[in-house]
Amino acid sequence: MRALLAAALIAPAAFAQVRVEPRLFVKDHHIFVSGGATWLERGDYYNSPGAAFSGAYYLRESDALEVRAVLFASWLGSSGDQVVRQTGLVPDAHKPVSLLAAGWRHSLTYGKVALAGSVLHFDVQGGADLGTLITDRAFTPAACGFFGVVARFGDRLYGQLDLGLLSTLEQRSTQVLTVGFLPLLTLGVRL
Amino acid sequence: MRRTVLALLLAGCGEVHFVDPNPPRLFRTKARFTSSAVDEPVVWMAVFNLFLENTDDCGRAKDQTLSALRAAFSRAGGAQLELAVQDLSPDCRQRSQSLNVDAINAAFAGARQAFPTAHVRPLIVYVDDIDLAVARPLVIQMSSLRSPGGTLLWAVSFPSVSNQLLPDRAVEWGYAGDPALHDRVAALVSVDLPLRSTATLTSGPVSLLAAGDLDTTREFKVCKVPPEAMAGSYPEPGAMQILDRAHPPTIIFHIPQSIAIEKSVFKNVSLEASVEGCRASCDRYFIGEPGGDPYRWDEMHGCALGNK
Repeated sequence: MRALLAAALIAPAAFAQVRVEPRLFVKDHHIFVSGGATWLERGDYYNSPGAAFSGAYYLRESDALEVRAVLFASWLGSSGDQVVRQTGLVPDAHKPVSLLAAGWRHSLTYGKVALAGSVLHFDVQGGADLGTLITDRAFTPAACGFFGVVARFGDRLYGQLDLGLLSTLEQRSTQVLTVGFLPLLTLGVRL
Repeated sequence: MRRTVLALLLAGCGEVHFVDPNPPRLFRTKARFTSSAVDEPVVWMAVFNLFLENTDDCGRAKDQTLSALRAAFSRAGGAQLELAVQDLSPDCRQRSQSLNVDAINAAFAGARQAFPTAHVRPLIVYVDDIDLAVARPLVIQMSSLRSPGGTLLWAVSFPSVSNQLLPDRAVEWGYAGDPALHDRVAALVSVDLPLRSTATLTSGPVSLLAAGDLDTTREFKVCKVPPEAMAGSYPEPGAMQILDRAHPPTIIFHIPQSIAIEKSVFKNVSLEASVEGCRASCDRYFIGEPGGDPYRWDEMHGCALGNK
């Protein structure tokens, strides 16, 4: 009898500890726009930092159509510049100017983590884009595959980190397939 | 595999080579010369060695045969000289076993005097109507007249004779007064006569660059010349030359000589030297293939676009 009484006394408190938090980072039928920074590294003697802009519309919670635009501020790196100054020879690689691409992104999993007394909700995502890398000499076909994280910072604010591989078909001394590393870090809002 | 992927991630991929943004503007051309030919005079002599059963037909048979030969040889055109007939069997009763070599050589010498500037190569037309090998002395004498490049021999005979004499051309004998003999000989004449010789010993100066290239070329190199190129008549191969438009570069070829050759065999000779020209940026780098070493075109020895 005492045991039943004790159970009756502690039950409301005990049940109050077990909660199922509703998903806070909801994307379904929302538009996400963001802007940030990037760096294209493809071993072409150019330093290519850039400003990145992206927009994504989620057809459902886990799939979105997206567009990207990147403006590069490329310059010849010190080793390439030294060759140019000493010999007048220049790399046959094109100088990246901008990237325009569109594609699809997919949420692989949803998660949350406790950080400094708060809970961060995030998606692990992957995807692929097709488009063109505009260089100082031509429009080159480009394809990009990426893997990254989209994290919720507030009701509408979110951050996005994509680690991408950018492949282009470029006419240098001969036609070559290039592959470069393209990390993008952006901050955006959900509309 | 993991290492490759890591390398891709870290450094990207796609070969990058250094190139000259203003490479030398090069072109290749060839200086060509084709020799020409001159026709030599047709100097010919009929040698009759006929045996006829009916000797009454002897004169007529020879006249008809000679007429057929004359009509055929007239088709050769150009300068002609018919030498006196050597009749080895005047009455057609017996085939002769020898030639009058001295008389024949004397006639040839006269012909050479008649055409002092030409290359006279006489042609003997040996006419024999017997299907039987000729005597050995005649064969030897005929052979002595035909030193290499010397007298030509055409045989109008049966194969038994032509196989023995081994003439330059053989015409089958038919019968005395055969009207088709003219056609058979004329066919040979049209193919082989007149004899031809190379017109000149050398090409004379041949321009290494075409007129259109002279206006735009700044520097050039001679890439390859044939063995017939006259030493000292052209710039040093492989070395850069600055074009002097007032004195366009030339080359002279020695021309292989063909003297008094049958028309069917004679061929004009074509000789050519290859040249590489530069129209602009001649002091800039030439890179032969992606990743290849860069060479300043005006300093490198040899032609950049290959030495062919």
